[in-house]
Amino acid sequence: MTRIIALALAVTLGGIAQASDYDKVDPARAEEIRAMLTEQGYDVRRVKSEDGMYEAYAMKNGQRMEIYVNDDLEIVRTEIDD
Amino acid sequence: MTTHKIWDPFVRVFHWSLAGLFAANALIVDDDSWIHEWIGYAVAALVGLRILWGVIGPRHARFAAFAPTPSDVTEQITDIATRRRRAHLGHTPLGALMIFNLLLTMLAICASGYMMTTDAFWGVEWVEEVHEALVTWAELSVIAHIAAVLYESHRTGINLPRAMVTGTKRVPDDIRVVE
Repeated sequence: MTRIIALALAVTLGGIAQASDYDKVDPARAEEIRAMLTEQGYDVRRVKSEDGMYEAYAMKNGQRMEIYVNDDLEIVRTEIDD
Repeated sequence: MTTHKIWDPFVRVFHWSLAGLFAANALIVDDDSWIHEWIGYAVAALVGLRILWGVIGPRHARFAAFAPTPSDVTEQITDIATRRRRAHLGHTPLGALMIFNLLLTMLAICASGYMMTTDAFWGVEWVEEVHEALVTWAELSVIAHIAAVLYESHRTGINLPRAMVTGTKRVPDDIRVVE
């Protein structure tokens, strides 16, 4: 029993440690994406990495949007959260 | 062996549906999906109903009946430490603390998750971090809860998981029952 609990604890704590960096983006890169989207009228809240792309959370025209950007700083897809 | 009808149907349905929905959202469902959000609303509704039931429900469901005093808690710890075997018919004092912990944590998870869907907190990192930290806390609590239930079942000879399914506790004759 103690071993099971210790193992579960180790797995969970490992998960927390990992969860805090897995979606981090290089700050200079994030700044470029932020500037590019801001120019297009987005109010950018956050840039993170998701599914091998960059994902920006932003507001535009009162809508909550997720904008997926590729390595060439092209917008691949935008999603509206409704 | 004496049998005692303890858990009403709502308490049991609440327990297992909360366990299932939390596990689904924490471990299986894609957290970007609408299903994740709707499971969250269902959890909030369930916990809301449980709180109402804790005020108006039958005796063993009522918070006033199982909210422990500090001395209740130390008594149970003493039971465990000194191998003094006594059984509680309703929630044990430590079990009750875990219930309050889990109910409050679930509400805080639902609230922070809802915030992530609002204009004001859309994409705001600390909200997501709070949401995730609370989920981790809940997962650790669930592990502790399951371990404690197994341990207490073994210690008292009362099959607690079974009681949460059937509603009935079967108490061995060689153990003293305290309220």
